[in-house]
Amino acid sequence: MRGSRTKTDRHALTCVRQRTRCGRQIVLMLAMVVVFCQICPGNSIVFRDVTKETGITFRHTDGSSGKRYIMETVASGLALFDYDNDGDVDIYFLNGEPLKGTKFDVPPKNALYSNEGDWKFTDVTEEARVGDTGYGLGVAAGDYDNDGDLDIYVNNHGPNVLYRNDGGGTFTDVTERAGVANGSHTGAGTCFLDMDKDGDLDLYASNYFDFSYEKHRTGVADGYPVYISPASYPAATDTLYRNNGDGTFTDVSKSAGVAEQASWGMGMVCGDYDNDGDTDIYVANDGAGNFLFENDGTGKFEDMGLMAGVAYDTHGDGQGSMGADFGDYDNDGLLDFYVTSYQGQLATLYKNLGDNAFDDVTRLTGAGEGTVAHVTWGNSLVDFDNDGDRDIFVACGHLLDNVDLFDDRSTYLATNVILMNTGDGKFVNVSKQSGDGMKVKLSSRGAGFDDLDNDGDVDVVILNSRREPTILKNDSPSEGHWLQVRLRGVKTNRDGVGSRVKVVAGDLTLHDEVHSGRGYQSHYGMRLHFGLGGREKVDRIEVRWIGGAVDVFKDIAVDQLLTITEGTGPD
Amino acid sequence: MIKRRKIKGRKRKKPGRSHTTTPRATRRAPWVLIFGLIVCVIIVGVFLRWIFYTASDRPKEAKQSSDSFESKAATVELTQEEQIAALRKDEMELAGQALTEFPESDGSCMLMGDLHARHGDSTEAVKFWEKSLEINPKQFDAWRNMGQIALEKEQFDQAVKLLRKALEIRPDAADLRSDIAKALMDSGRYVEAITELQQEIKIFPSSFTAHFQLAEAYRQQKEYDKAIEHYEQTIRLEPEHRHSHYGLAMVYTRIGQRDKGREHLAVFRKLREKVDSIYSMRQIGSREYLVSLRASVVKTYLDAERLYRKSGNIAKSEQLLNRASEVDPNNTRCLERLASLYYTSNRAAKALGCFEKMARIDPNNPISYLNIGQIAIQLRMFEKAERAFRKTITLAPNDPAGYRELARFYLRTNTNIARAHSLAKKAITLGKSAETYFLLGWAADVNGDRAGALQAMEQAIKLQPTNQKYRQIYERIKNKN
Repeated sequence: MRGSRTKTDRHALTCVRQRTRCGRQIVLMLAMVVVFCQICPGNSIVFRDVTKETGITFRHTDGSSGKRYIMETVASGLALFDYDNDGDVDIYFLNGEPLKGTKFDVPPKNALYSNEGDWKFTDVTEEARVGDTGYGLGVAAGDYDNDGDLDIYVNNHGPNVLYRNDGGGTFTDVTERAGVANGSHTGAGTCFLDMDKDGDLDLYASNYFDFSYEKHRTGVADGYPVYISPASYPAATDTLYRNNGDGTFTDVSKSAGVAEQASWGMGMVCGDYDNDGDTDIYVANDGAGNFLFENDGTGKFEDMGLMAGVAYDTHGDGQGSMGADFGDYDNDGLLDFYVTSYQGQLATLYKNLGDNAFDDVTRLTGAGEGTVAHVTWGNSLVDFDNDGDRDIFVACGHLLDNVDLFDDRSTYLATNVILMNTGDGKFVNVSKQSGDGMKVKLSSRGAGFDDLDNDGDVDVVILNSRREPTILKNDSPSEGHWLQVRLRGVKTNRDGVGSRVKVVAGDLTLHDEVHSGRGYQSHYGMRLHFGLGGREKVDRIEVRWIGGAVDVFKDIAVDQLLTITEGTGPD
Repeated sequence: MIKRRKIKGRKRKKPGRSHTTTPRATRRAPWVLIFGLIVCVIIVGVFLRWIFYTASDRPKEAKQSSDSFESKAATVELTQEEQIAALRKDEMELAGQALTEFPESDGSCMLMGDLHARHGDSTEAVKFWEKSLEINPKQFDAWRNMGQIALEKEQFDQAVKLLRKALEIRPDAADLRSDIAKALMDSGRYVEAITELQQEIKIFPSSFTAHFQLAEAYRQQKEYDKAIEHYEQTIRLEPEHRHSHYGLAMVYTRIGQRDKGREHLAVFRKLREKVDSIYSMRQIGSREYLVSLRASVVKTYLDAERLYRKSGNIAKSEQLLNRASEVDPNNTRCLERLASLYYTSNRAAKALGCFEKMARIDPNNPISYLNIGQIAIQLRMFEKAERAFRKTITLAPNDPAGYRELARFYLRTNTNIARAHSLAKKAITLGKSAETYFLLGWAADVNGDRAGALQAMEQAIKLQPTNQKYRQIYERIKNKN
């Protein structure tokens, strides 16, 4: 019949139709994948959990006996620093001690692990003689005697400890001689800083409260016994020691103006927030307004926290502030603060507006994503993917070990958070797609960020309460360039603590400072890391040494660790 | 004629009577009988009244006594931790029982959901609230509660969606738009938040929450003039609103007026607590927790009571209220409900007892005295009633209720009618209502002020045109010579 189709024709037509339909489906799926990739940030930051490979056997204890002494909740910080000047970053973990009612066969102590390279670490605590058996809470490393190696100060619950680095891999406890035991406060964060620009490092110890077993009691939450809040104990004033230059320190807390108000000090960071060439001090206070001590240039301080807008959150509410870091998240040349906090509160990003003012931009930028359900601790503003802007890492974990019984909005064990900077002043939570390292679920406290394998990206070490630490290798697939800068002071303090570095590469200008002590009661990052994205050359590096001198260097190659000595040039 | 057969050897006795009578005794007998009968009736009547009046109470009283005894015994013997455990078990069992007895009730699902929420299990709470919505999609509290949980969990889109559902059911619910605005602001949707808050202020111009949030939204949008305007309005409404002072300080600093910023910071410093309440949960010890737990248990009892009352089970309702009152003897909500239950079941004396207890717990609450007065009148306890109304006036001198009721009291008891007239006049100056105009009309009438009475009655009718009683009285006064 005219117009009719044969069976073969019909079959062929059906096949063609089916193929066309399949093709359309494939194209549609591909289009969806492309759109999906553009929407989702992808895996630009990846962390791999390499803890088991490292040989690190350290296990933290909070010294608990079930009596719920409050200091158990806030232990501890850690330090990442090159203790033996062999070019790689080593790890010092703080540990608790047996509290009343607890007994250990072998007293727990702090532990120093030497970085042997290739992700192998060796416990050198005994040889180095840094196994303090006190209740370690905060730590900072700094060359207080300017002899070319980093010393350690440990802020304890109880008397503090200053270990002087003797070189050759050993330390000596010089606390008593130096006069920095700081009584028997329950300590917190600590920093070395050159407060008076005289070329040596002074020392700030933040104090949490004054504890006594007689005052101890527990709280109740929905019928369950819980740790009481810090407000149940008298607040303590912080301590500022001026370095006398002869191996001793003088307590200048009162005359410097930092002891005018007592509070419940926690993590802290020192830096030049107002760009006037001296080092200011920011102390996160737990449950009370944070301090921002503005330096008048001579080592006298005035608390400007409230006026500057960094004491409270955007509504004027106090936070359970824990850790504090200082970094330029939006590359405008002004360093900003990032402060972690308690459950039900966002970790807070304070944008530096210049003119001694800050704005809480947490909501606007998304810098608090994923934090409200947790208690947040160690943190930093670090460029993990080397794309030229700083991302945020937040260590999480509740301090109430039984919170799961009475509050399903949070958990004792928690995964950590990584927020990727999108480059336009916003952050996006990429924790779920950033590798197995972000799946570790423990109760984290202090965190340190440094390039442990010297491969040009920043890795992470986390101290977990009552457990083994977490060591995260940065395996981000980024092909961005980078530059690391280590400072060597000559007239200024040996490691350039407090000095500002500006790196210009094409259209990108980055600023950073050398800090000693930061985040949650920890120490890391004395080797400054700059991610440069696709820029293949550094046009200019400007170092403003604490004390005023400025060194400028031009046309520097990327992808290297540069050691810059004051007044000379880069090595 | 009745023949009587004499039986040999036996004297026949007539029943109930002595076989020997005298004429005097015969005349006295009926009166003795009548008197005896009356006495018996009285005794039986009293006995029956006592049985009837206390029949429903006695077993409960006995039970209450034993419960009280048990709870007292428990308080004496149990540690605080044991008391906590016992109360929580009590609460959970009651909620479970309500769920079993009222499986198709959204109320029982809400009760269980609320209980879980109070004890930190938001996941279970949401399940029960969702169930209540399956039964009753217009369950306002379920939508709102779920919206607030979503807000806490930073699920902002979900929070907005749920809270808007609640708003559809009750468009005039206070603070609901503020919650929606918070979710919008926290997700960066400031323009929408501002629209919601402006609407909230239109409906509730005195809402300092809405004004404050509007100020915060404008501050984030850098519309500083508007931010200042609303912060200042918040402070006018709530002078100790420290957050507004903080907001003003931040705004003034941003616009370069640092001195003004410092002024507001100084006020903020004075107003803020040294340590915010973020750790309040961990602050309290067992004793304080027990107090808050009792309040939670009472709420469960009150929620359950509502279910049983709605189903007509007054006995169970009463039992629950009594138990709640034992758990927290100072809880006036329990007493208020118990009073209402007694009053509606014609046990005015017990109702009076409840209101008197409430007045002892909260001596500054005029409502308790108002209720005492009204019930005392019914029980013909006139002195008590007068004292109670006077106390109401003392405690709430600007509220017309006390003056009105005292005026009514004088008019009803026909005592001090001149005073009744002045009281009614005073009540009108404080609040014009149909009932108060009626009382004024009545008082004017009995005091011979016909013109005044008619004027007042006209006003009463104007305000309540369908009230026939007012019209009748008006006509009566009008037609009086």
